[in-house]
Amino acid sequence: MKEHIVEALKNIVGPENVSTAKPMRAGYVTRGIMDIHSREAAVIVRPKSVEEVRKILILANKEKIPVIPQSGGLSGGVATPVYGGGILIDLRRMNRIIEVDTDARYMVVEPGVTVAQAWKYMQEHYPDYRPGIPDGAPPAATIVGDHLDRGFHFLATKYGPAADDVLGLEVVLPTGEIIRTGSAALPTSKWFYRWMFGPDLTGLFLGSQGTLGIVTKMAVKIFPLPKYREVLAFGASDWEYLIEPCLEVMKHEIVDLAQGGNYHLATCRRAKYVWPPRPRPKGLPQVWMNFELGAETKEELEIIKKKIRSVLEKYQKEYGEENLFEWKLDIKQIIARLTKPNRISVPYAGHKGGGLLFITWYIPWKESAKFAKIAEKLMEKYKFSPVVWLAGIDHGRQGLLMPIVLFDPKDPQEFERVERLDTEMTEIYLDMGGIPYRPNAMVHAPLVMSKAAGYYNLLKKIKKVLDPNGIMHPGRLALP
Amino acid sequence: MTYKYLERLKDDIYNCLHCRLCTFTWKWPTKEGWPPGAFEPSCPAGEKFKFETFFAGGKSWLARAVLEGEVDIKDPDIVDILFACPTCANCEQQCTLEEPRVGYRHRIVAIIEALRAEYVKAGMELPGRQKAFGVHTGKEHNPYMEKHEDRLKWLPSDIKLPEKAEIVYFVGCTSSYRQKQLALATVEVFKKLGVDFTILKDEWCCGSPLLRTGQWETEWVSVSKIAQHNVNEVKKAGAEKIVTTCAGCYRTWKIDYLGEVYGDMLGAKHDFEVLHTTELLEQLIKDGKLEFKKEINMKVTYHDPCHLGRHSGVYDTPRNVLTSIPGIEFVEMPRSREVSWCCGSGGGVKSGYSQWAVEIAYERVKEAEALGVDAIVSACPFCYRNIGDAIKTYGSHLKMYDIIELVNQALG
Repeated sequence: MKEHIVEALKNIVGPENVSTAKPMRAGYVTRGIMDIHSREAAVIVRPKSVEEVRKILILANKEKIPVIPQSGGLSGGVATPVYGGGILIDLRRMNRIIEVDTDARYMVVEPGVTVAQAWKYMQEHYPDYRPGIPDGAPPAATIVGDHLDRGFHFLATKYGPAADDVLGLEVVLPTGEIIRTGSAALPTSKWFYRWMFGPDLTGLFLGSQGTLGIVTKMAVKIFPLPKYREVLAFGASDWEYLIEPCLEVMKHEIVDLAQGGNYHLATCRRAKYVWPPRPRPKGLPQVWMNFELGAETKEELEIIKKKIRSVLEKYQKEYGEENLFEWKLDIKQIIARLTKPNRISVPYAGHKGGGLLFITWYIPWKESAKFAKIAEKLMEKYKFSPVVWLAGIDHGRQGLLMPIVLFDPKDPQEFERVERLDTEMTEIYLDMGGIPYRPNAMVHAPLVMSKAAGYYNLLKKIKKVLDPNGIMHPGRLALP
Repeated sequence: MTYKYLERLKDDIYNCLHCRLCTFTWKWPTKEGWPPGAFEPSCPAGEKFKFETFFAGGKSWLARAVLEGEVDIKDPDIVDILFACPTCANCEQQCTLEEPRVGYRHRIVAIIEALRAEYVKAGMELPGRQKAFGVHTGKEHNPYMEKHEDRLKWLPSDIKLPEKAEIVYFVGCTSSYRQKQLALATVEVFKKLGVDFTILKDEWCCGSPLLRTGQWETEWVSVSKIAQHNVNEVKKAGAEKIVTTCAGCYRTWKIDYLGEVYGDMLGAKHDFEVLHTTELLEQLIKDGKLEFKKEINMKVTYHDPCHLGRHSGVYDTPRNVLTSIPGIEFVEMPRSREVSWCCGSGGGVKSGYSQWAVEIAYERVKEAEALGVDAIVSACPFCYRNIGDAIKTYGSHLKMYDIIELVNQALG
């Protein structure tokens, strides 16, 4: 990074908030989670205000330097891929909760507001409400990061992915303009509605992975905290026996969150890597699905549980009780599921020494069994534990399938094997009609875009209009 | 370049998923809503310097970059990242919460100390007064720039101690040269209770400040030589137990001399029973051998020393002793026990970054002030000193005590 640029950055945010030190930059790197190719940025910059963000972007645009924005950077772990060089903008100093409106039921936050901070704030000030938070991402993840990247939400079965709960954005464009979307586009209006007239410009930025601008404010929905909560779980001897009953449960639209997986998802947490995978321990179903439930009254909760069990009984008659059953969770498992924000992602870290890649796909729920079985087969082919997680999104309109690849990051050959698996799985899943959730730059994005030429061309045109010099996170979404 | 100290922690280093759970305190909810202290900042260094690399996850990835040759340990920009950290283990505590469930460890304090040792081994300059105290310890066996011959000056001449005894009271450098009142209080308590004890005539620094700052085997000091000397001296005294009022010495004797991280390197393994003074007192209370004669009417809170609490797992014992003193009204701080906020003096921060050390302690003072207590009580002379400095620097009305002082008063 040229000295005059570093000096200019220091003038913008103060010298204590800029670092080009190699050791400092190394601490921001993670190779895993979403991308195994991440490298160091050339400089880390930590702005405090919208104005500072604007000045940084104007400078970067003038000098044509790549910019990588990072709110908390977290999925299961730090997951902002950097492809070498550029300005990494660490937005964690912008951590104000600006507004909470319990009538229109939203909160407006800056990008550095963490899940833990938001949850605690709501508990202290608005105990009847809960903020929209990810499920499975650690408490240091941010509200903005999760919503912006269409995160898996703790109410994702009920309301869809987190991005669906965004009511408006403030975005600094690469050219330095500051825009607002949704109702807040009007200076006289509050953040109560996602739409202005015309197309959904809020949605334009959601899922853009930092390629179109930097979000400096976001309005997200808040939700009532139910007085009664419970978890029921279905266990099954095969994916085929699980999917249809779960779909029927979700079609009743009574479930907050439905997620589960195969038994490897549970066993891989507790032990170091073994190959071939451990046999299924007694008492653990081959596959299962948890239903997290919430209700205002005990009676309401009982009705929901009764409904779910009636679906179970119906399918048990068809499949047999040995193939589909209620999996009785112990109190620890229930607390673990209902505790929000949760710590669920970290256990996989120890498996075989910390390497982890989520390969996550949106699929039609009805096809879940087929996708899951292919994932298991492919992972075994490449000698990785066949760990598969599955969740129902938007009452089962979609399934979110995540093969979790656990590998040894000490071995460079394992990185190659992970990539070969990812490539083969992506080719197969694309043919089957799956959509990558968070496309990585090396495998998913190029393959997807090669099959969706019209969509890709539109995306490139939009990118060119908003980011003419291509400074915003180049490489993501297969964009230049 | 090979990094022998880091290499042996390679599995730990690569275990870091960089999930940043280490940055917040976590308490498993035992009741409706969140328990006090949940989701508070955990890391003094990260909260102060903000860049990711100052947090444990960032340091782990830095360690990985060093091992992979991407970052040179001699990079001059590395020094503050490595040394501006009190190694309080709050990060490790948050990470280790998963250990029973997942069977893996991430010994972040050991990683940080190994990084420091590699840095020192590479001939790089230590921050602040750290090298100076290391050099002095090599010569005079204490890090306080004091003469070895003055080590027992605090001991009143009328107190006579036997050559040999069941217990060695290991005084430690801080109580010997700075918080002498704690050494005196300990001896007075032992005398009042009829404890069969002695003090080493040739006690050396336990080595903790050197282990914590990466000064392991250098041209100026050898921590293994120190450890071996101390063990031999205790053997000479014929003791079976070592009792110390210092949390730092306690950790060093109990964990470092014996444990998997430093045990083999130090070559000073022993079979003495190591007790913190509060552990001895608790036992005496249980046996009915300790009866308090005076009330101490004071509302207090307890600050967990990191070396006694998170590093050694001793939480209940000091509380049990403190609350057994008649008249004491005890209130817990929101961040207590496993999620306690560090006083800021450990890990070489007091000598390397003295002003910041006091800033960290002031966080604790404010937390205690909010409870409306009269005093903070701790069980470590180093915490005593640094929190005391913060009370003085920021003009707090609070008083600072060590448990041993209150026990001494209450014994009459």
